[in-house]
Amino acid sequence: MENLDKKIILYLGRTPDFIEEIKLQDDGTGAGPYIKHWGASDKVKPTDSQLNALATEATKLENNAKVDKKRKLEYLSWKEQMEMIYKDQKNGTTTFKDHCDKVRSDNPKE
Amino acid sequence: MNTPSFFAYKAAATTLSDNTTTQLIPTSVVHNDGTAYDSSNGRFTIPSGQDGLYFLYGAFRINNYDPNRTAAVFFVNGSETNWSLTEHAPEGGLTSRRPVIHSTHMAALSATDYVDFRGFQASGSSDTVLNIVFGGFKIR
Repeated sequence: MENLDKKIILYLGRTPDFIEEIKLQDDGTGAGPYIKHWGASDKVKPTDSQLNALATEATKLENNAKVDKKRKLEYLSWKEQMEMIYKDQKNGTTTFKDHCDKVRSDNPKE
Repeated sequence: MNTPSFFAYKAAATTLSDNTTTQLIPTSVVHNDGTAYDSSNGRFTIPSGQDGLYFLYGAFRINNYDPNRTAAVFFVNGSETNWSLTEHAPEGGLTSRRPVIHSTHMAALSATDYVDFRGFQASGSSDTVLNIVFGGFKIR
């Protein structure tokens, strides 16, 4: 099932521990990920139809997480950012702010 | 000596879903003494008459990784061997960061038992695995 972890996050209304509390597994058979273990005590294990009802929102979460990763890449390292901030303070420029604005506008979220 | 033994890898990109323990299947076989490794399903199956103690090694290299929980683990007969799970949390920025996540395991295995290698990452979205290796041999 596509974006299964995001569907579960939406279903629970929180992010569970996906190593111990809830285990998702993909056995490489082509069937995709499934719930191997459900240990959440606040809600019962959801049905496929309950999860599939969250597909649109789950896709949005996954896509926005990918945007976040791309932004982090394009923000450059903290050392390069510090250099921009230092030069802005020294020269009265807005290089750092302009750089961040561009990264955000180049990578809009849904 | 040390037969059966095998070593396989995959250099092509593989998608690793977020928060999902996913089987990683090396498709290129370097060495397969005893033909116990099947590159079509990623399983190393103990041949008849080869019960014994086995050493296993598996690793994957993940692209531009946004540091978070990452793990490698061996499954025996489709079940997780929890004690073989190694968890890593690489630090630092993700630019050009491609950490290798690995695990080793010693297991007493009997004929028809099969082992496969799996990866887990929790970076927030699916990631690309660039390299996978999986190997092992009988100790005694």
